[in-house]
Formats: sequence, C-alpha cells, structure tokens
Amino acid sequence: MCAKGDVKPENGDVKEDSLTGYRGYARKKLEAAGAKVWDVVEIQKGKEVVKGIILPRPEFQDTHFVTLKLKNGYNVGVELTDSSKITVFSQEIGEYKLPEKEVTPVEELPTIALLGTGGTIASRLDYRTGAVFPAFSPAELFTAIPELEDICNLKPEIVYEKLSEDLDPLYWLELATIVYNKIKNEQVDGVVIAHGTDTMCFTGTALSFLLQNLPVPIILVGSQRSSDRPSSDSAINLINAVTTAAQGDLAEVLILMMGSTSHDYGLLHRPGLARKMHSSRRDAFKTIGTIPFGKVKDGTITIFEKNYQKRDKNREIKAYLKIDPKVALIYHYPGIQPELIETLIDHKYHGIVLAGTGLGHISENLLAPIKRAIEEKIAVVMTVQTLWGFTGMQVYQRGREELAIGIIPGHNLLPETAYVKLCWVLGHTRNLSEVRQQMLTNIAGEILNRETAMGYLIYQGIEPEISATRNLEKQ
Amino acid sequence: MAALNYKALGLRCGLEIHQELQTDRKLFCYCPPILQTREPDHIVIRNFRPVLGEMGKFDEAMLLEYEKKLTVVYEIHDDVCCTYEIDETPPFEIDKKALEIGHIIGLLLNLNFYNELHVCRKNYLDGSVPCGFQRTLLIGSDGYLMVDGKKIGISTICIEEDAARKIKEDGKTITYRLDRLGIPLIEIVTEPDINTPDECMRVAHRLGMLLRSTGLMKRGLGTIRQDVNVSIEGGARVEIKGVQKLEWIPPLIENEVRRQLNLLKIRNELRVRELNTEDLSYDFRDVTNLFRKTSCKFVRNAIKKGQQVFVVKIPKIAGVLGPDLIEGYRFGKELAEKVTAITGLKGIIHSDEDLEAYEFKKSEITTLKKELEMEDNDVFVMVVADEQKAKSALKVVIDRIAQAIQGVPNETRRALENFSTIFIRELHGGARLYPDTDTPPIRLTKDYFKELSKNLPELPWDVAARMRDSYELDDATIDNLIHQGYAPFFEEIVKKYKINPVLVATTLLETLKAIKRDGFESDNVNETHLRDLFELLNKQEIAKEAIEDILKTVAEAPTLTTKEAMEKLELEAVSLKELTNIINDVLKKNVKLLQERGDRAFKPLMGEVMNKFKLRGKIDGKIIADKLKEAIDSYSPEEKAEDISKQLNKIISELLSSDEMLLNEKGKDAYNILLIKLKKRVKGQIDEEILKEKLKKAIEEFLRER
Repeated sequence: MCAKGDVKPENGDVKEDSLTGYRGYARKKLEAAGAKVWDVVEIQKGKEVVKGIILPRPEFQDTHFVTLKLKNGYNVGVELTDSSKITVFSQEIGEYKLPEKEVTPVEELPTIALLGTGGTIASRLDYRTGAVFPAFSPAELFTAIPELEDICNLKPEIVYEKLSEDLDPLYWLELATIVYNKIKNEQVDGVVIAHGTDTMCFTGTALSFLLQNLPVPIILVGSQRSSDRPSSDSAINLINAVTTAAQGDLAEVLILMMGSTSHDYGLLHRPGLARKMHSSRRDAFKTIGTIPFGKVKDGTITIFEKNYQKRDKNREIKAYLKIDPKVALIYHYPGIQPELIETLIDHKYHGIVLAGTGLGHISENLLAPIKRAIEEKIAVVMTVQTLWGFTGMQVYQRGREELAIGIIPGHNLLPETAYVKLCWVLGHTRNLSEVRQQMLTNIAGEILNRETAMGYLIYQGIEPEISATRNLEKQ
Repeated sequence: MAALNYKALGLRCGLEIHQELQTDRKLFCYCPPILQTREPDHIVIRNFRPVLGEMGKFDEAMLLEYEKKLTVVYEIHDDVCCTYEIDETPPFEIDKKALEIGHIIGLLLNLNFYNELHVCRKNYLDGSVPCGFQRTLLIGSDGYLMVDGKKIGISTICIEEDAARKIKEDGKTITYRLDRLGIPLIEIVTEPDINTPDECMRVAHRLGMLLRSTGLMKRGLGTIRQDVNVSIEGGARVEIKGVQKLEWIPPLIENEVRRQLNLLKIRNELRVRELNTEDLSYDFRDVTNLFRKTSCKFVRNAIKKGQQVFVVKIPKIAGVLGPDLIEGYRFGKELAEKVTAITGLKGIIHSDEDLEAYEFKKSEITTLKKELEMEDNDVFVMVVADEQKAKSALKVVIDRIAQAIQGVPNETRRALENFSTIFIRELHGGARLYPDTDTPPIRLTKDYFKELSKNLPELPWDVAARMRDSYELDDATIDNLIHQGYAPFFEEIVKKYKINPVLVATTLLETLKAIKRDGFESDNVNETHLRDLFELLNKQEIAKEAIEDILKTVAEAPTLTTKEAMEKLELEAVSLKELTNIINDVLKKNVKLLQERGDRAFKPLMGEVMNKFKLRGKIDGKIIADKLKEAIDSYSPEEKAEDISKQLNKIISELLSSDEMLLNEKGKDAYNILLIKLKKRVKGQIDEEILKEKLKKAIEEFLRER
C-alpha cells in the first residue's frame, strides 16, 4: 500500500545543449567548426554549397547528417564528410511567443479550475523545430479560445507536463489530492482536467473512486489533433468540457471528447465505462456496455443517463486516497505460459486482473498457478476481452473451474477499469472476501446490471448523417 | 497600345509548375489516386479556427474568415478516401514511386539532390487541406534546362500532396471534395531567368513536354497547373496563379507589366503630390446618421438592417483611383477587389468615381465632404457593413494606399480568362514551412541514384525524332502523343500488338477527349484499362466500334476492369458463324423487302443486323457489311421459305404431342397458351400471322384425329 509519495513532476530542468540531438560524427564535425544549433552556416562539399540554419535534430537519427532550414523554408539533411567545409555566419534564434490577453474575472460567472497534466490539448507548436510545447497560461488560453471567457472564470494551473502513459497510480493519487483541495478549499464550481487521451480512462476511473460524493463536476478532456491544425478538436473539446463543468447540473467524474469526426457535438462518458477505441480519430472515445452519459452541443448539455448525482455545492466531498499499485493486468491468449503468473506471485503482487476470452476463460495450464496465487492471498479478477458483455463463468466447464479456485468474476468491468478498481480496493483492504464484495459494488457507475437490447448499436459511431448517405449496395 | 520593350523594362519571369504524378497510390496513404464524379458516400463538417502562426500571431486573413464563421464541408468517397484524408490518421510511409519520379525529373533537369529528405508542412488555411497543412519535401536545388540555347535555372523541385478540389463556395460554407487530396505532385520552380512573355511560354511548353514525355505523369485536364512570377525593374515580384493554358502566358505577362508600370506611375504622381505614409490615418468615421434618409437605396436598406456607414479621408489622391491600370481595370477596382478578398465585403464607394450612379443626393455628398473637411485633392472611401467589418475594410484600403506610395506590392494574384488578374493574398515568405513531426527523414543512398540514372527516359525531342522515323504518323500527332504523355505507352502498345498505330493514337488523343466532352471523367481511365482494351482488340474479342462505349463505362466506374466493362455492356465479340446465323435470320424475315428491292435492301438490312442484334462493337463493321452483301447476293428466298415451313410443322407437332394433356382438357381453348409456347420456341424468326394460322390448323387436325 502506498500513500501519496514524494512524487515530484519534472519541470523540464534539462541542461541546455548547444547542439541538441547531435551525436557522433556530425557532433564532432560541428563542434570543430564552432557551430551551434540556430547558427546560420554554409556547408561546402566540392562544388555544392548549401546555406541554412542548423536545426536541433531529433535523436535516433543518422549521425552523419546535419538538419538545415534553407532560406526557402524547407528543411533538408546534409551529409557531412571529411571534405565538408562548415562556415559559421550569425545566430538566428527562433523566438516564439504567444500574444497575451488581459483577463478580468466576471463575478456572475462560475469559477472553474483547469488543471493541465500534459498531452496534446495543452500544447502549442514550435514552428521551427516542429516540437510541441505546453501552452497553458490563462492569457494564452483565452487568446487561443476566446469563447472560454464568456463561459466561466478560468483558473488554469499546470500540474504535470507528462505524456499520459507516464501518469501511473501515484500520479492519480496526487492529482486527486490537488482536485480535492480545489473543490474543498478553493470552492471552485467545477474542475476540468486536460489530459493525454491514451490513458485518460485510467486516470478518470481512478478519480471516480478516489473522490466521491462530489458537489461539482470533474471533467477530463483531451485532444486528438494539436491546436496548430485549424480543424483541431482541442478548442471544441475544451469549450464543451468547460461548459459542462460550469453549467452542467451534475456532479460526477466524466470524460468529454468529440462524438463524431465532424465538428458537431461532444459526448460525455463515465470513465469506468469508457474506452479509447481508435488510435487517432477525434471520435475515438466510446462508452462500452451502454449508451454514453450525455451529449454537449453548442452550449447545450443533454444527459442520457437516468441515475446520476446532481450538482450541490453543499455536498461534502469525500476522499479515499489510498491506492495499491502492485496489480497486474494480464491479457490471456492461446499459448500463454504459467511462468507469467508464477513471476507475479514471486514478485509479491497483490492483485491480478485477467482479460479472458469469451465469457471469461483462461487456458487449463493457468488454473494451477492462479489457484496458487489465490492461496497466497492475491486477488484475481476475471474480465472479458470482448469488452462488450458480462462475464458468464457458470456457462462452461472452464468457467466453473475458475470460480471454484476463487477467481472473482468481473461482471461487466472493462479490463482497465477492473485494474484501476483493484488498485484502489487493495489500497483499502487485502481481505479477499472484502475485495470481492467491493469489486462488485457499484461506486461510480462502473457496474452495469443490465444492457439495453440495442445499447450495442446506439451512438457507437453510427451517426445519422452517415447512415443516411451511405448505401454500400449502391456500388 | 504601344508595344513594350521588355528588355528596357527589365522584365524577369519565373515559372512554378505543378504536375500530378502517375502513381498507384496517394503520397502518404494507400488510397488510389482517382477522381470521382458520383455523389459522395459521406459528408464531414469541420469548423476552421484560426491557428497561431510561426511568429506567434494569428493569420489575419484566417481571423477574418473565422469572424465569418467559416464552415468547411468535405465530400468523401469511400473507395478513394481513407481516414488519412480527413485528418483522422497519421501519414503512412511515403509512396516510393512518387519520389523516384521526382528524382528522374531532377536528373533530366541536372539537379543537385539532397540525400536526406525531411517532410515539411506548408500551411493551407483555406480549408483545402483538412489538417491545415500540405506535406511537401524538397528533393533538390540548382538545376537547369536549356531552351533555345539559353540556360534557364531550376531553383527547386519538390514532391508534395495535391489539395482537395473546391466544389462550391456559398457564403459561410466551402465545400471540398477529398478525392484529389494527397495525389502526388511534382513542383518545379525556375529561376527568374526568363525575359520575354513568349520566352516564358516556350519554357513552360518545354518543361511540360519534358514532364509528359516520360509517361510518368498523370494526364488530363487539371493535372498540370502553372504559376508565373513577374517583375520589372522598380516593380515587385507578383505571382500569378491558375494559368490554365500555355497561350495565356504572354497576354497575362503583358498585362501584368502594364499594371506594374501604371502603379509606378501612380507612385511617381503621389511623390510629386508629396503624399507620405504619415498623412494616412486609420481615422474611420461613423457617418451612418448622415445617410439614414439617403436617396441611395442600398445604403438606406443596409442601415435599416442595422449596418453602419463608415468613411475614411485619404488626402491628395484625387484622380488616382480613376484611370485604368490595364484596359477596363482601374486602381479603384483593384482596391475594391482586395477589400472583397480579405473581408468578404462586396465593394467600396469612393469619391473618385461617379457618385451619381449610386443615386446619392448632391447635398449628402457635400455635407459629408464638409464633415470630413475635405480639400480638393482629397478622396473619401465609404463602406457599408457592421462596424468590425467596415473598419477592417477601410484598414485594407489605407494599407493599400500606403503600399501605392512605395510602388508595387508583392502579391499573389489569380489569372482570369480575360488575361487580367485578381488579388488573392499578399505574397508569402519562405517561413510558412515547418517540420512534419509525424514522418522520419528519408535517407537516400548513392546506389539509389546510380540505379535511377541507368534507366533515364529519353528526352522528348529525341523521342520525337525517333517516332517520326518509325511510324507513319504526322508530326502533330507525334507532338501530341509526347506532350500529353502518351508516347511511351503508345510505343509499348504498337510494339506488342498488331493494331494500326493510327487507331492507337486516335484512341489516346481523340476518343478520350471526346468522351470527356460528353461528360465522362476520362482522367479515370488508367493505363491498365487502356492496355487491356488494346489487348481485347488485338485478340478480336471486341471490335474498334466498341472502344468509345467501353471507355465511357470505365470512366464512370474506374474500379471496373476493361473486361468487366465489356461484359457489362454485353460486348463479347460475335464469331463469324454467329454472324452468318444472324444474317440468315434477318434475311428470312425480310423476304418481301429482298424481293422488292434486291441489292438496295442492303442499307435497311444492315441497320437491322446492327441494331436488332446489338452488333455495334462486337464485330468489325466492315466484316458485317461484307458478309451481308455476300448473303444478299446468294440468297434464294423460295427455297429457304420451304425449309422454314418444314421445320415449323415439325416444331408444332412436337409441341402438340408434349401438351396432349392440356389439349384433352381444354380443347380449342388451349390455343392461346400453345401460341405463347410456340412463339418462344421459334424466337421471333417466323412471322406471327403464319404461326397463328399453322397452329390453329394443327390443333383442329389434332382434335379431329382424336
């Protein structure tokens, strides 16, 4: 069990390198010529002469080349050889500054805390290097998305500058603490968390367990296209998220992302039921097992979900800030070897979530090690790889064997949700029967007792405008 | 108008040529590079927001577009667009063939190549590229082309993605079709080494010829686009986009030179009048109240709708906005066009034009002038719009006058059909480019270049000389084959198949153009289609008459193979035996006609053979004619008629005996059913009256016998 440790986000205190990204031969050659990144240089090789600005070079690339920005704006790689002559002229450091806009708080508007954790949404592009930098001051945000000003008083704060795959359970815990303070002590009317999309469901699910009895909404939002694209989803998503946090009559942890590839509407998802189902599309997020929580379009919030907690600023937020990261998520496949489980036992894991096939099955050779794991007080939870549907471990012989050795059926829990939930439950108890009972108790809408007959078909990317114009048989 | 002495004027022109490449896929995804004419499968709607430019500033034109709430509609065809085109998937590996073609052209143009290529992004903020930038790579610099003994420098060659096709623009909504997006393009930029309009056309022709002669370029309308850069001594570089035909180049350049000369004249005049930039101010006045009851109808209506009238005073420029820059094109019009291009406002009103045309009262104008404290040489410019737009418009006017004091501004302009040009935007600098972080650099080895150099295509002028010796084609046809990029393909076909070279050339040069005129997207016909077509011709599976119909079918449904198109049209060739049968049948049915007209029956009978049996394209028309003539000559109707009646009797008796049950049951009433059956059996080869008569008789006989 780990409480909030002394996790300190890195603030990018990297030592300045005058030849960023250059290694090996090119570095030696440039150093010898006294050339630095951003220098205007002329490289002569035989009769050919190339003049341009030395750009930082991404790592892991050929070490014999220097990247130059030519006068016509194009970048090219120029190979350095022993006969190349480098002449250094002047320095031209690219300066990139966002215009800043004065922001005066408006008393009638709700106050929203906007927490940046990194990811595409809170970034801007350096046009010279192509690198993406965080952009998150209130002034910057209001300049980029003036609409936000009319919705709320925004209090942005950079919490982390992290790629979302690096936001592990200890960060969830710290983030929960920060959000708790915003709500409890700063009395904000809502919290928006800008988060990388890859693991947004994990963090969101964790927050929905760590913070309960919410008085105001906590909305996670991300973007699949950076804001240097005119058709980026970052503005529409931020506007929809902030609208929900400021005006939505609800008090839950939700994810907001675009619902279609058109700039039309955003969908609200309960994080424990949501999944990023596409590696790159704007409408990557889907609610699994049921229809989405709600929809936000042009400032109007429509809630589809029947049972949810409404906004009530007098409600007392409760924090359950314990988490146990010693949990593994194992995807089952034919041919899986028992050592995988043995290793987890040997390394003193406290919990294992299995993503089983079909109704929740694993191969025969895993039964023995799993049995041993449970005997050694490791909680083992079964979920389904199919994502849609429930575990049904009474149906086949294998399922019944699994139940007999003490595997906890995960019901409809998504593998990732079961993983986060198990981390959180184990943070509070190691007693297996308590764990079993907690895992199957609905806490934040993650447990479904029924799947509506057509839930599988509605709002799963089959948008009305598409089905109307689409006619595959036509061709 | 006096002829211009271009040498004395210091004319310098450069060309920028964009040509689509003939590849199997698009540059950064695996979609086929095919255009679509059918209705789109899906529509995606995106709102474009201004983005921060590289200098940390919003693009001004983009901001104005944003104020207009620009909505972009994309038309998507599933078979030629994937998630890459709608900016939902990062780029895939670059199409190697496109790069190779670029390098081949580069070798022919004596280019210095880079051996590590970096994909760059070039901002396109008008919605024509859904992600907002075009991916482009510089592959080499500093080449040259010899034209009429003169060295024309080639500055750069790039390989890039084509943008989407604009389908319509309707106020706040622009519709683009994404089929063209991502088709690989080669961009060739020359040095401004060209010194006369005619020379510019010759260079463009020569470059086009060089590109097309390789057979590696896409063909058809719109696959090549050329821009011309024009400047004169003391003037400025003006880029003219959208020059659709080579013949447009000289008059466009001449007009641009005159425009620049006249702008310089205006500059000199303004200098004489001592107009300085400091005299100009953004002092925009709201004079709506003066015009609430104006006799000018459109101003009055606009005010009623809540719009405002704004004016600005410009000192010392009276008489400057009036005169022509080129024929029929005044400086005032140029100002108004720029305002429209940037703000979307329809027009401006200024006191250097005939204000009576607007039906203003004289007193209104006098009051306004008094209010502005105008002196004789001053001019006012008036716009009617909402405040923000009105102010942006007047700012455009003032800024343009400030430029006039300096001379000619650097601009990008679009060519119009009357050879004048219209403002698009201020000329971009090189800084619009930034690195693409989604693609790795491309390393090119010495071996790669060596291999390419070994198999370079012939230069077009050499190809022409050789073709003149090898084929009986006239020079114009050879030139066309080369210029339209068909030469290598033509030679491949005539070497491989025994088909008349003239037929091959006609098909490639004329037939494709003809079906395009008929509204078929001939650009969709690819070389595989054509190769298959000639193969079918060669095997005599189709006749030459079928060519046009097959090409039309393929143009409409490019995913069909030629053979499938042939089958769809039921154009399988008819064998000689089948033809003989058909001819005999036709003769049998037209006994009367033959008896009456003899040889003169040929024409109507030929028509019937062709039409009734849809022989067009299934067998060579000449063969049909010969066979028909032969058959007519040797036909003896009496003899054949006997044959038929014998056969018919047999058929009827067979029919009756097989339907004995029916006859027993229904007696004479079985006639109708039996007639239908009989007609089916003889397949319309015997006159119906004869059938009826014989059948009736036979039934009576049958019943009697029973």
